[in-house]
Amino acid sequence: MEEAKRLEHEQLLRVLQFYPFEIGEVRLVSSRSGRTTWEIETDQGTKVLKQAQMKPTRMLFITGAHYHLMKNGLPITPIHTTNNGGLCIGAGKDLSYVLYDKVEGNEMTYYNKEQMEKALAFAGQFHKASAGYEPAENSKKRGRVGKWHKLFRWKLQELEGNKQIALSYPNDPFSLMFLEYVDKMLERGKNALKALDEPEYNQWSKETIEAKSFSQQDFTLARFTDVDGNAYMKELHSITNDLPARDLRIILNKVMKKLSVWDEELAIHLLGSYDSVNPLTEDQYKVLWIDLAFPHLFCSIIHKYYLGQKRSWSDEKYIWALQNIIAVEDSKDQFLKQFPEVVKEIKRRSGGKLSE
Amino acid sequence: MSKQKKDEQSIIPKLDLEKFEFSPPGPMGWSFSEYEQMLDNLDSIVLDQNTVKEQLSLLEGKELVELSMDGVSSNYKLSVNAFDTLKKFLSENLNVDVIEVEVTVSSPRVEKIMESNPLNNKDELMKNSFDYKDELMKNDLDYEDEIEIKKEEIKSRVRIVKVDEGIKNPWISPVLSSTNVKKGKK
Repeated sequence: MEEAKRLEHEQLLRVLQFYPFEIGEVRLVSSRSGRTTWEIETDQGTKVLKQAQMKPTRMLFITGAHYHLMKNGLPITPIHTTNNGGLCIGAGKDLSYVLYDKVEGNEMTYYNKEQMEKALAFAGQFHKASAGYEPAENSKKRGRVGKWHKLFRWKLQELEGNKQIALSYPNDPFSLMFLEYVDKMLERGKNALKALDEPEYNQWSKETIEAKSFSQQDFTLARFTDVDGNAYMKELHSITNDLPARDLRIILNKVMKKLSVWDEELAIHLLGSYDSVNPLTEDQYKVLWIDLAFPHLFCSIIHKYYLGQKRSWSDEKYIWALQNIIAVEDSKDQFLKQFPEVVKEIKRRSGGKLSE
Repeated sequence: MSKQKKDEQSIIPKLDLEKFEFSPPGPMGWSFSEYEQMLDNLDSIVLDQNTVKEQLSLLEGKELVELSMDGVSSNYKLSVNAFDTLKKFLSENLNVDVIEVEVTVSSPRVEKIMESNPLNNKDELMKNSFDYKDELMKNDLDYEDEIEIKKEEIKSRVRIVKVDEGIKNPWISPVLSSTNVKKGKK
């Protein structure tokens, strides 16, 4: 064990020698999903070294964005550059390293309304601070702005395919429940796809490209910590060039899934919080509504089931998850239908005005 | 068997529930004893030591490269092992004390064609077959914006000369060998 630790330390020193710190104790903190982190004691405080199984050029795209956000004043953990100004270190084709400060704070949870409010206000700050990002020429970019049609179509095709699979399992309870709702979800998805042809989506996409802004891609509270009552980003996991609506849809769906129901009041409250920092136009809200209407959650659970992605999940767990998502999507219907009233209320709470 | 004895036997024994510890049911939960054991050894909860070891072994012998925003040059430093070997060699053979060795190599350039603004040409976008996975898959969305062009390899011309053996005899399936055919005729 000691020998293994010594070897680990030795290997990591090869990476850490690039940084202007005196290295002390190295502690392994976590390792999952291809990402491993260590806490490093240095002469300038505790640092976090992250190793990711990722192309170094992709890591450069993310760390460049991290640096950009930091320069623009977003409360995000300081990222360290190497002695030669490098933002990350690559080892071979698929291994990358990044070093940043360890930030101490309290955990943020989805069940705390105040913390959620802060997280949404942070999202507004994030999207504003992201504007003007010019990635390094040799970085591997990622984006979906202007490509929603393709994603929606692909997911609907997959759903149709899974419907056919379900039809061949007449005794499978999950498939039976899926078949009960699939047509409704397909219809909602197709309507959302059609709505993308309206000018609002195209317009916002053009604006996002021009603004050179990006979104978080996977907006989750796991990346935040509460420092002195404010949301603070302790790690930037990934980014993508996409509309801010994507982050909003992901976080709203995530929190409502945890509540097992679409809480209209909470949704308005959270969007009001976002809007007070980064006000959206009525047209931009229309695009958010399209994304919320598309059955992303439903497609996701069906995809997981028929591809057997969650090996540890029992049939009961799958059925429970499907029931939960159906409950959320069903209760979301009413919210989606009240677009003008809801947007008016969001603006009233954020103190903003409606403009197209 | 007397009636009293029969009654005594049919009493359902009471279970002392306090002896039992409960944990969440199903695969999302874990049995209490396992959980207790994990708490005794916190390191093993988060750390898959084998994976970490495996990943770090991948690092061995690999050149490390710093990536910066200017994106033009990358500095390659010698690995600790290589540095030590070189230091040892120089001090033994040339009586030189080496403090640091740094080698700068220009980074290999990758030819890329940046995709034109997709909004200008949706049809073209749809035609392009991007390699992407669903965002909901395990590793998040991995969707390439750019197409890397591989350098065209120069193909050398090869002339294949086939020896013409000539058709000496007509080919007959072994199933229909002459004896079988004859037998069939009979």
